[in-house]
Amino acid sequence: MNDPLRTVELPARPSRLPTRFLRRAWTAYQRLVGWLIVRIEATKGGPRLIAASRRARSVARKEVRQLRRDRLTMGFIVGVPAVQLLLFGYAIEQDVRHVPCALVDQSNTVVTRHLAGQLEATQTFDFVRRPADEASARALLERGEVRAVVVIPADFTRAYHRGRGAEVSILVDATDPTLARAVAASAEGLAERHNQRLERFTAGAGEGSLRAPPRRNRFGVQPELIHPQFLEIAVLDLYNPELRTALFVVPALLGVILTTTMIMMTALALVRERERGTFEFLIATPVGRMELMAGKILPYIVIGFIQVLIVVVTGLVLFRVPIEGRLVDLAVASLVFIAANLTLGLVISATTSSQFQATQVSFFFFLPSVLLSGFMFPFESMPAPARWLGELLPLTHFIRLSRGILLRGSSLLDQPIELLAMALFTAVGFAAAARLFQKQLG
Amino acid sequence: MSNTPETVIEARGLTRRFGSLTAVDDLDLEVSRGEVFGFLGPNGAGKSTLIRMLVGLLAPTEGSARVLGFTIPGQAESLRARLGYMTQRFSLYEDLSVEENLEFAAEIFGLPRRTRSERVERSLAEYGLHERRQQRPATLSGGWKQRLALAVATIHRPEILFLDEPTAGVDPDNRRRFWEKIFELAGDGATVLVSTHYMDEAVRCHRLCVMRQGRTAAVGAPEDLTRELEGRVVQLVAEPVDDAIAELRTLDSVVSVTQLGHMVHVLLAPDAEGGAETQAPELAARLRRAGLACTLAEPADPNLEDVFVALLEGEALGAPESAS
Repeated sequence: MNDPLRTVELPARPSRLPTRFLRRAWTAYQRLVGWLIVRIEATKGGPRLIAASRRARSVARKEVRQLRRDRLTMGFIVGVPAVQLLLFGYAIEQDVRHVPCALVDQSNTVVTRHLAGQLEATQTFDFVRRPADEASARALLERGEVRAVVVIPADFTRAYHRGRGAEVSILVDATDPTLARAVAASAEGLAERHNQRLERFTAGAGEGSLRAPPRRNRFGVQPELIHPQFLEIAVLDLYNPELRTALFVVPALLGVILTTTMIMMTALALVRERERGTFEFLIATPVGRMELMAGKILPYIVIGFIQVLIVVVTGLVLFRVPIEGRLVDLAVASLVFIAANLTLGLVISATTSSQFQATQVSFFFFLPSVLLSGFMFPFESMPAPARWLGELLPLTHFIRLSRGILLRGSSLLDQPIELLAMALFTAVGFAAAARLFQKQLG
Repeated sequence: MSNTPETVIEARGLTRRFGSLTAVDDLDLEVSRGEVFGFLGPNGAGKSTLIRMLVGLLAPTEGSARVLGFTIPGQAESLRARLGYMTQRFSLYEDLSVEENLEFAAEIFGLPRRTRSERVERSLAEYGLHERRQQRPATLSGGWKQRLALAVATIHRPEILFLDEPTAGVDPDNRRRFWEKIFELAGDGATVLVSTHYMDEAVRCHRLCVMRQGRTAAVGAPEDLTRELEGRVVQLVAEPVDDAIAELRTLDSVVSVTQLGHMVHVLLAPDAEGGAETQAPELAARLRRAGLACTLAEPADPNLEDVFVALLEGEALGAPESAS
């Protein structure tokens, strides 16, 4: 443990690997790397490349060592995704539950009472008031005593049995969009589940096209073929009719979290050396500019991926954010996005002289990213100049990609422009950083 | 070794300006291999700027320099592995241990893996850092920090070592040991350039460049520089000392008066008639005339401080041939 001669080369501590298989894989990997090094060294300019990559690796390893000892930064890395996710996530979760509602049941039959019970069982609706008519319900809504009104019309039960598509309307106070979205999602979900069950029945009866399922019977009575009972719940968002699902937040949040941490981390990485005086030592060594920058970025790419993992898994487990698309696509999109942010951090690092300055400049970039990327406001509803600015931000493109991949199950190739835009940003950023960052003082 | 020492550093008209301030002004310099070459000067004389230019970290505003045959700063990168640089301010990683700092330096200077740990071990031993290997520099005292910095700066066995005020704020014992180390390195063939504002350190250098306001005030071996002031120093014992000093300072033939314990150290003007031999009794007579007791007045050996004072007074000292 305290072995002073410990070298931290690539083929280190295979003994820590748990199984023989892993050990073998490790050896094979070492051999591959060794073979590659030999091959590269044999080429023209190969030795220089190897030496350069070794120096970059030294810088990266040093950076990791320092990071591990820097509790504040480590807290930042894990804490920011956790806190942001929980903050935003709880906002989603809390509002889904126990919304004070009014129920206007003008039909008042077994069916409607059952429906009301089911709505309450979603835990979204708490029927705290049961006014007689819609007008008084609206008054409750306006006074803010309830946040939503469920209106079951008088002909509901009849329509339901006739299979005409029974309709329930819900009036939602959408001054709080998150709440409105949650109510809508919950009610629509209920209707959808109900209808799917019905369709399965229909298919099972072999008369799918006719949509004539057996009557659903909870009491074990033989089902009899009568008209289907489709349930339609029409949600009427009162003050903000264009609502999106709350799930949209998490994929975008992934991008926001990466933006915050990645830019800040690299912005501080080089400036810290300058502020602590170690920069003068570093630039007097043979480490090249590119090697230094590469070594500085490398650990943060890994950290970025850890954050992606944290957010995606938390999103999946706590908030049931689906992963419709392929993880590979998400990984590639994340990689390019992380790289884009890191190069921006490098540019900031190369142009500022203190950590304080670097933080300020990071925020200068961070705010428009959050506001103009479509995270806070729907991109489409922004004025044109804001949209142009938004297009310049890598976050805008990443949010489109992550929403597409996670929620719609699209692939990278469905949105090649977004990926290209981020790649272009990275290239320009790196070139700028390379130009701005000099191994010189003053 | 050949008879004519190889020139490893050569600077011509080196100038660096920061805005309206000229930190280094039209400076010429030549340093031979194996020399311990000192830069002596007050704060702000341009020592650090000059060293930074020679290391290739600052581009000169005018003039040029060649180090080991390479143009600075254009070709500085090809030189890195052959130069060692110890910064004025401690510039190693406070959050890495002593050993890790050495390891990192060994890696970044591209030492082959096989020799790396061996070299780190040897450095730890050589600089007595063995028991402190796991310590963070933040917990080291000034003297130990300097040792670590020197160990790091020499881990790759540089041909030229630049030390920028390496012993500032270090106690005398540690300073002495530090200088032993410097001579060891020079003995192994390294050229050492060291800046200082301690006279006792400057006097130990093979050659010295006294700097003032970015310019070379004098260049030469310390003993050569002091020799030029021979016959111009008088040593006195007088009572009361304060009045004696005040009296002496009024004289045109006196450049400076310094009190050294009971002694009064007097540097005579270059045009003082007859030099120290003649002036010593004259100064004694003068003091007695003023009603002061003077029990001793004799010629004395000049020291480096006299050189420094003479240079401050604008005298031209030092062999010009070594400067151009």
